[in-house]
Amino acid sequence: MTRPTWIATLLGAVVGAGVMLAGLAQAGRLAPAPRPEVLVTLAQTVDAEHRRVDLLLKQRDFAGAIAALEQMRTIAWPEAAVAGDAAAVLRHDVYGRLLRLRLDHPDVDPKVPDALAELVGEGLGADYKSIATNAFTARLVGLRGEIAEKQGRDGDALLAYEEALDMNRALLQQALAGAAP
Amino acid sequence: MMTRPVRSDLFLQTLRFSPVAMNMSLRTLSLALAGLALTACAKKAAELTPPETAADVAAAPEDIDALEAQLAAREDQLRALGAGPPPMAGGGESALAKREELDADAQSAGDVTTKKKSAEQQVAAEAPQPSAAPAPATERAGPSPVAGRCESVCDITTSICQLRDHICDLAPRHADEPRYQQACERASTDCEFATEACHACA
Repeated sequence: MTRPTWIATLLGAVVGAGVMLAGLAQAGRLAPAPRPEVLVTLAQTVDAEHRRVDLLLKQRDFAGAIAALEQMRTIAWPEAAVAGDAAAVLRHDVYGRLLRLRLDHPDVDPKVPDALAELVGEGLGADYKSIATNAFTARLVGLRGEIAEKQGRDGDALLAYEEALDMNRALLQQALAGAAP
Repeated sequence: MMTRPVRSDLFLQTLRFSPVAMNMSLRTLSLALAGLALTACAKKAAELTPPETAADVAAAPEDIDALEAQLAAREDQLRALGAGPPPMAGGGESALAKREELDADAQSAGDVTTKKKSAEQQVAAEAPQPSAAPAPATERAGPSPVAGRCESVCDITTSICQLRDHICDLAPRHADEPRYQQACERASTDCEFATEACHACA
Protein backbone atom coordinates (compact mmCIF):
# COMPACT_ATOMS: atom_id res chain seq x y z
CA MET A 1 0.00 0.00 0.00
CA THR A 2 1.38 3.40 -0.96
CA ARG A 3 2.00 5.97 1.71
CA PRO A 4 -0.87 8.35 0.74
CA THR A 5 -3.29 5.40 0.68
CA TRP A 6 -2.04 4.23 4.02
CA ILE A 7 -2.44 7.66 5.51
CA ALA A 8 -5.91 8.08 4.04
CA THR A 9 -6.94 4.67 5.38
CA LEU A 10 -5.57 5.43 8.82
CA LEU A 11 -7.16 8.87 8.88
CA GLY A 12 -10.46 7.39 7.80
CA ALA A 13 -10.31 4.76 10.50
CA VAL A 14 -9.47 7.30 13.19
CA VAL A 15 -12.14 9.76 12.11
CA GLY A 16 -14.70 6.97 11.74
CA ALA A 17 -13.95 5.55 15.17
CA GLY A 18 -14.05 9.00 16.69
CA VAL A 19 -17.38 9.87 15.12
CA MET A 20 -18.86 6.52 16.18
CA LEU A 21 -17.72 6.84 19.78
CA ALA A 22 -18.77 10.48 19.95
CA GLY A 23 -22.18 9.55 18.57
CA LEU A 24 -22.66 6.75 21.03
CA ALA A 25 -21.50 8.92 23.91
CA GLN A 26 -23.79 11.77 22.87
CA ALA A 27 -26.67 9.38 22.59
CA GLY A 28 -25.91 8.24 26.12
CA ARG A 29 -25.57 4.65 24.99
CA LEU A 30 -22.05 4.10 26.23
CA ALA A 31 -20.52 5.40 29.40
CA PRO A 32 -17.42 7.37 28.45
CA ALA A 33 -13.96 6.05 29.24
CA PRO A 34 -12.28 8.13 31.91
CA ARG A 35 -8.97 6.73 30.65
CA PRO A 36 -9.40 6.34 26.90
CA GLU A 37 -5.81 5.16 26.46
CA VAL A 38 -6.67 2.02 28.43
CA LEU A 39 -9.69 1.36 26.24
CA VAL A 40 -7.73 1.92 23.03
CA THR A 41 -4.95 -0.42 24.11
CA LEU A 42 -7.46 -3.01 25.24
CA ALA A 43 -9.28 -2.81 21.91
CA GLN A 44 -6.03 -3.23 20.00
CA THR A 45 -5.11 -6.22 22.13
CA VAL A 46 -8.49 -7.86 21.62
CA ASP A 47 -8.30 -7.20 17.89
CA ALA A 48 -4.86 -8.79 17.65
CA GLU A 49 -6.10 -11.78 19.65
CA HIS A 50 -9.10 -12.23 17.37
CA ARG A 51 -6.85 -12.17 14.33
CA ARG A 52 -4.65 -14.80 15.88
CA VAL A 53 -7.67 -16.95 16.70
CA ASP A 54 -8.89 -16.52 13.12
CA LEU A 55 -5.60 -17.94 11.88
CA LEU A 56 -5.64 -20.81 14.35
CA LEU A 57 -9.15 -21.75 13.33
CA LYS A 58 -8.18 -21.57 9.70
CA GLN A 59 -5.56 -24.18 10.55
CA ARG A 60 -8.24 -26.14 12.42
CA ASP A 61 -6.27 -25.69 15.60
CA PHE A 62 -9.26 -25.52 17.90
CA ALA A 63 -7.18 -26.31 20.98
CA GLY A 64 -4.87 -23.43 20.13
CA ALA A 65 -7.77 -21.07 19.56
CA ILE A 66 -9.36 -22.03 22.87
CA ALA A 67 -6.03 -21.67 24.67
CA ALA A 68 -5.47 -18.25 23.12
CA LEU A 69 -8.86 -17.02 24.24
CA GLU A 70 -8.35 -18.55 27.68
CA GLN A 71 -5.12 -16.58 27.91
CA MET A 72 -6.96 -13.44 26.87
CA ARG A 73 -9.60 -14.16 29.48
CA THR A 74 -7.06 -13.98 32.26
CA ILE A 75 -6.12 -10.36 31.73
CA ALA A 76 -7.14 -7.91 34.41
CA TRP A 77 -10.10 -6.50 32.50
CA PRO A 78 -10.41 -2.82 33.33
CA GLU A 79 -13.48 -1.70 35.21
CA ALA A 80 -16.10 0.48 33.56
CA ALA A 81 -14.98 3.27 35.85
CA VAL A 82 -11.58 3.14 34.14
CA ALA A 83 -12.30 2.23 30.53
CA GLY A 84 -16.04 2.81 30.16
CA ASP A 85 -18.75 0.36 29.14
CA ALA A 86 -16.96 -0.46 25.90
CA ALA A 87 -14.41 -2.46 27.89
CA ALA A 88 -17.19 -4.71 29.17
CA VAL A 89 -18.50 -5.14 25.63
CA LEU A 90 -15.03 -6.22 24.49
CA ARG A 91 -14.92 -8.70 27.36
CA HIS A 92 -18.30 -10.09 26.35
CA ASP A 93 -16.96 -10.53 22.83
CA VAL A 94 -13.94 -12.55 23.98
CA TYR A 95 -15.91 -14.70 26.42
CA GLY A 96 -18.63 -15.26 23.85
CA ARG A 97 -16.20 -16.50 21.28
CA LEU A 98 -14.46 -18.71 23.84
CA LEU A 99 -17.69 -20.27 25.03
CA ARG A 100 -18.95 -20.81 21.49
CA LEU A 101 -15.76 -22.72 20.73
CA ARG A 102 -16.00 -24.71 23.93
CA LEU A 103 -19.59 -25.68 23.21
CA ASP A 104 -18.82 -26.60 19.62
CA HIS A 105 -15.71 -28.59 20.54
CA PRO A 106 -16.51 -30.26 23.84
CA ASP A 107 -13.72 -32.81 23.39
CA VAL A 108 -11.01 -30.14 23.42
CA ASP A 109 -9.80 -29.45 26.95
CA PRO A 110 -13.22 -30.57 28.27
CA LYS A 111 -15.05 -28.53 30.88
CA VAL A 112 -18.10 -29.64 32.78
CA PRO A 113 -21.26 -27.55 32.33
CA ASP A 114 -20.92 -26.10 35.82
CA ALA A 115 -17.47 -24.75 34.92
CA LEU A 116 -18.87 -23.24 31.74
CA ALA A 117 -21.68 -21.64 33.74
CA GLU A 118 -19.08 -20.11 36.02
CA LEU A 119 -17.21 -18.87 32.99
CA VAL A 120 -20.25 -17.21 31.48
CA GLY A 121 -21.07 -15.52 34.79
CA GLU A 122 -17.50 -14.27 35.04
CA GLY A 123 -17.66 -12.91 31.51
CA LEU A 124 -20.99 -11.17 31.87
CA GLY A 125 -20.14 -9.57 35.18
CA ALA A 126 -22.62 -8.47 37.78
CA ASP A 127 -23.87 -5.35 36.05
CA TYR A 128 -24.15 -6.37 32.42
CA LYS A 129 -27.78 -5.28 32.36
CA SER A 130 -26.71 -1.68 32.85
CA ILE A 131 -24.71 -1.73 29.61
CA ALA A 132 -26.34 -0.47 26.44
CA THR A 133 -27.83 -3.33 24.42
CA ASN A 134 -25.31 -4.78 22.01
CA ALA A 135 -24.77 -7.93 19.97
CA PHE A 136 -21.89 -9.28 22.06
CA THR A 137 -23.74 -9.17 25.36
CA ALA A 138 -26.82 -10.65 23.69
CA ARG A 139 -24.74 -13.54 22.35
CA LEU A 140 -23.22 -14.23 25.75
CA VAL A 141 -26.64 -14.25 27.40
CA GLY A 142 -27.85 -16.71 24.76
CA LEU A 143 -24.84 -18.91 25.49
CA ARG A 144 -25.81 -18.82 29.15
CA GLY A 145 -29.06 -20.44 28.05
CA GLU A 146 -27.27 -23.19 26.13
CA ILE A 147 -25.11 -23.94 29.15
CA ALA A 148 -28.10 -23.96 31.48
CA GLU A 149 -29.69 -26.52 29.17
CA LYS A 150 -26.59 -28.69 29.48
CA GLN A 151 -26.93 -28.39 33.24
CA GLY A 152 -30.49 -29.64 32.99
CA ARG A 153 -31.88 -26.29 34.11
CA ASP A 154 -34.40 -25.76 31.36
CA GLY A 155 -36.25 -23.03 33.26
CA ASP A 156 -33.10 -20.93 33.53
CA ALA A 157 -32.29 -21.71 29.92
CA LEU A 158 -35.66 -20.39 28.80
CA LEU A 159 -35.16 -17.21 30.83
CA ALA A 160 -31.73 -16.65 29.30
CA TYR A 161 -32.98 -17.30 25.76
CA GLU A 162 -35.85 -14.89 26.26
CA GLU A 163 -33.51 -12.27 27.67
CA ALA A 164 -31.23 -12.65 24.66
CA LEU A 165 -34.27 -12.52 22.39
CA ASP A 166 -35.39 -9.27 24.00
CA MET A 167 -31.93 -7.80 23.41
CA ASN A 168 -31.92 -8.88 19.79
CA ARG A 169 -35.40 -7.51 19.28
CA ALA A 170 -34.20 -4.14 20.57
CA LEU A 171 -31.15 -4.35 18.31
CA LEU A 172 -33.35 -5.12 15.35
CA GLN A 173 -35.51 -2.09 16.05
CA GLN A 174 -32.39 0.06 16.28
CA ALA A 175 -31.06 -1.37 13.04
CA LEU A 176 -34.33 -0.84 11.24
CA ALA A 177 -34.38 2.73 12.51
CA GLY A 178 -30.91 3.15 11.06
CA ALA A 179 -29.20 3.44 14.41
CA ALA A 180 -27.63 0.04 14.76
CA PRO A 181 -24.51 -0.01 16.93
CA MET B 1 -1.96 12.05 11.51
CA MET B 2 -1.67 14.04 8.30
CA THR B 3 0.74 16.46 9.90
CA ARG B 4 3.50 13.91 10.37
CA PRO B 5 4.88 13.78 6.82
CA VAL B 6 4.25 17.48 6.32
CA ARG B 7 6.37 18.39 9.31
CA SER B 8 8.96 15.88 8.32
CA ASP B 9 9.17 17.32 4.80
CA LEU B 10 9.46 20.85 6.09
CA PHE B 11 12.32 19.73 8.25
CA LEU B 12 14.13 18.14 5.32
CA GLN B 13 13.56 21.19 3.15
CA THR B 14 14.99 23.38 5.87
CA LEU B 15 18.14 21.30 6.06
CA ARG B 16 18.68 20.94 2.32
CA PHE B 17 17.74 24.26 0.87
CA SER B 18 18.00 26.92 3.52
CA PRO B 19 21.32 28.72 3.47
CA VAL B 20 20.84 29.64 7.08
CA ALA B 21 20.32 26.10 8.23
CA MET B 22 23.46 26.25 10.33
CA ASN B 23 22.14 29.29 12.11
CA MET B 24 18.75 27.89 13.00
CA SER B 25 17.07 29.48 15.92
CA LEU B 26 16.28 27.40 18.94
CA ARG B 27 12.65 27.33 17.87
CA THR B 28 13.51 25.98 14.44
CA LEU B 29 15.74 23.37 15.99
CA SER B 30 12.97 22.32 18.32
CA LEU B 31 10.59 21.98 15.41
CA ALA B 32 13.14 19.97 13.52
CA LEU B 33 13.67 17.59 16.41
CA ALA B 34 9.94 17.24 16.82
CA GLY B 35 9.65 16.43 13.14
CA LEU B 36 12.28 13.76 13.43
CA ALA B 37 10.62 12.25 16.44
CA LEU B 38 7.25 12.20 14.70
CA THR B 39 8.76 10.59 11.63
CA ALA B 40 10.34 7.91 13.77
CA CYS B 41 7.04 7.33 15.54
CA ALA B 42 5.24 7.06 12.21
CA LYS B 43 7.71 4.46 11.01
CA LYS B 44 7.41 2.54 14.25
CA ALA B 45 3.61 2.65 14.02
CA ALA B 46 3.77 1.39 10.46
CA GLU B 47 5.87 -1.54 11.61
CA LEU B 48 3.36 -2.39 14.31
CA THR B 49 0.28 -1.95 12.15
CA PRO B 50 -1.54 -5.27 11.73
CA PRO B 51 -2.69 -6.46 8.31
CA GLU B 52 -5.48 -4.16 7.20
CA THR B 53 -7.86 -6.71 5.79
CA ALA B 54 -8.95 -10.23 6.43
CA ALA B 55 -7.63 -11.01 2.98
CA ASP B 56 -4.16 -9.98 4.12
CA VAL B 57 -4.47 -12.36 7.02
CA ALA B 58 -5.75 -15.17 4.89
CA ALA B 59 -3.03 -14.62 2.34
CA ALA B 60 -0.27 -14.93 4.89
CA PRO B 61 -1.17 -17.52 7.48
CA GLU B 62 2.48 -17.80 8.45
CA ASP B 63 2.19 -14.31 9.92
CA ILE B 64 0.88 -15.79 13.11
CA ASP B 65 4.28 -15.25 14.67
CA ALA B 66 4.05 -11.58 13.85
CA LEU B 67 0.59 -11.44 15.35
CA GLU B 68 1.81 -13.12 18.50
CA ALA B 69 4.62 -10.61 18.75
CA GLN B 70 2.15 -7.81 18.24
CA LEU B 71 -0.14 -9.31 20.83
CA ALA B 72 2.71 -9.53 23.31
CA ALA B 73 3.50 -5.87 22.71
CA ARG B 74 -0.13 -4.90 23.25
CA GLU B 75 -0.27 -6.94 26.41
CA ASP B 76 2.85 -5.20 27.65
CA GLN B 77 1.12 -1.90 26.99
CA LEU B 78 -1.92 -3.10 28.88
CA ARG B 79 0.25 -4.16 31.81
CA ALA B 80 1.88 -0.77 31.80
CA LEU B 81 -1.56 0.77 31.98
CA GLY B 82 -2.54 -1.38 34.92
CA ALA B 83 -4.25 -4.29 33.18
CA GLY B 84 -2.77 -7.28 31.50
CA PRO B 85 -2.44 -11.03 31.44
CA PRO B 86 -0.32 -12.92 33.88
CA PRO B 87 2.94 -14.35 32.53
CA MET B 88 2.38 -17.12 30.00
CA ALA B 89 2.25 -20.51 31.62
CA GLY B 90 3.06 -22.21 28.37
CA GLY B 91 -0.59 -22.61 27.44
CA GLY B 92 -0.33 -20.61 24.28
CA GLU B 93 2.83 -22.17 22.93
CA SER B 94 1.86 -25.69 23.83
CA ALA B 95 -1.49 -25.21 22.21
CA LEU B 96 0.11 -23.84 19.09
CA ALA B 97 2.27 -26.94 18.90
CA LYS B 98 -0.82 -29.09 18.79
CA ARG B 99 -1.94 -27.82 15.41
CA GLU B 100 -3.41 -30.23 12.92
CA GLU B 101 -3.85 -32.98 15.46
CA LEU B 102 -7.55 -32.57 15.80
CA ASP B 103 -10.15 -34.00 13.51
CA ALA B 104 -13.17 -32.19 14.85
CA ASP B 105 -16.05 -31.85 12.51
CA ALA B 106 -15.79 -29.22 9.82
CA GLN B 107 -19.35 -28.06 10.23
CA SER B 108 -18.63 -26.56 13.60
CA ALA B 109 -15.33 -25.14 12.45
CA GLY B 110 -16.69 -22.83 9.85
CA ASP B 111 -18.99 -20.91 12.11
CA VAL B 112 -16.53 -18.86 14.04
CA THR B 113 -14.19 -18.09 11.21
CA THR B 114 -17.00 -16.83 9.03
CA LYS B 115 -18.14 -13.70 10.77
CA LYS B 116 -19.79 -12.14 7.76
CA LYS B 117 -22.53 -13.89 5.85
CA SER B 118 -24.54 -12.71 2.96
CA ALA B 119 -28.16 -11.94 3.60
CA GLU B 120 -29.25 -15.08 1.81
CA GLN B 121 -26.89 -17.27 3.77
CA GLN B 122 -28.00 -15.75 7.03
CA VAL B 123 -31.65 -16.29 6.39
CA ALA B 124 -30.96 -19.76 5.06
CA ALA B 125 -29.10 -20.40 8.30
CA GLU B 126 -32.36 -20.47 10.21
CA ALA B 127 -31.97 -24.21 10.50
CA PRO B 128 -30.23 -25.22 13.74
CA GLN B 129 -26.50 -24.75 13.49
CA PRO B 130 -23.74 -23.39 15.69
CA SER B 131 -24.10 -19.69 16.03
CA ALA B 132 -21.59 -17.40 14.43
CA ALA B 133 -19.79 -14.68 16.31
CA PRO B 134 -21.38 -11.30 15.81
CA ALA B 135 -19.30 -9.13 13.51
CA PRO B 136 -17.26 -6.64 15.51
CA ALA B 137 -18.06 -2.99 14.98
CA THR B 138 -14.75 -2.46 13.22
CA GLU B 139 -15.76 -4.95 10.56
CA ARG B 140 -19.15 -3.39 10.13
CA ALA B 141 -17.62 -0.02 9.37
CA GLY B 142 -16.48 -1.22 5.94
CA PRO B 143 -19.55 -1.32 3.71
CA SER B 144 -21.78 1.59 2.76
CA PRO B 145 -24.33 2.76 5.35
CA VAL B 146 -27.22 0.97 3.65
CA ALA B 147 -25.25 -2.24 3.14
CA GLY B 148 -23.98 -2.02 6.70
CA ARG B 149 -27.49 -1.56 8.01
CA CYS B 150 -28.78 -4.51 6.02
CA GLU B 151 -25.88 -6.62 7.24
CA SER B 152 -26.78 -5.69 10.80
CA VAL B 153 -30.44 -6.51 10.24
CA CYS B 154 -29.56 -9.91 8.78
CA ASP B 155 -26.99 -10.65 11.49
CA ILE B 156 -29.62 -9.96 14.12
CA THR B 157 -32.12 -12.07 12.18
CA THR B 158 -29.74 -14.99 12.36
CA SER B 159 -29.39 -14.58 16.12
CA ILE B 160 -33.14 -14.26 16.64
CA CYS B 161 -33.90 -17.37 14.60
CA GLN B 162 -31.23 -19.40 16.38
CA LEU B 163 -32.76 -18.38 19.70
CA ARG B 164 -36.15 -19.41 18.32
CA ASP B 165 -34.69 -22.83 17.56
CA HIS B 166 -33.32 -23.21 21.09
CA ILE B 167 -36.59 -22.09 22.67
CA CYS B 168 -38.76 -24.28 20.50
CA ASP B 169 -36.50 -27.28 21.16
CA LEU B 170 -37.31 -26.87 24.84
CA ALA B 171 -41.07 -26.76 24.34
CA PRO B 172 -41.70 -30.49 23.62
CA ARG B 173 -39.87 -31.43 26.81
CA HIS B 174 -42.26 -29.26 28.82
CA ALA B 175 -45.58 -29.87 27.14
CA ASP B 176 -47.38 -29.42 30.46
CA GLU B 177 -45.97 -25.91 30.96
CA PRO B 178 -47.66 -23.37 28.70
CA ARG B 179 -44.92 -20.77 29.09
CA TYR B 180 -42.55 -22.83 26.95
CA GLN B 181 -45.04 -23.04 24.10
CA GLN B 182 -45.88 -19.37 24.44
CA ALA B 183 -42.21 -18.45 24.33
CA CYS B 184 -41.78 -20.61 21.24
CA GLU B 185 -44.67 -18.91 19.47
CA ARG B 186 -43.38 -15.48 20.36
CA ALA B 187 -39.88 -16.33 19.20
CA SER B 188 -41.25 -17.75 15.97
CA THR B 189 -43.12 -14.51 15.31
CA ASP B 190 -39.93 -12.56 15.98
CA CYS B 191 -37.97 -14.78 13.62
CA GLU B 192 -40.53 -14.37 10.86
CA PHE B 193 -40.63 -10.61 11.26
CA ALA B 194 -36.84 -10.35 11.28
CA THR B 195 -36.54 -12.61 8.25
CA GLU B 196 -38.95 -10.42 6.32
CA ALA B 197 -36.99 -7.34 7.35
CA CYS B 198 -33.76 -8.97 6.18
CA HIS B 199 -35.28 -9.98 2.85
CA ALA B 200 -36.77 -6.55 2.33
CA CYS B 201 -33.45 -4.92 3.12
CA ALA B 202 -31.28 -7.20 1.04
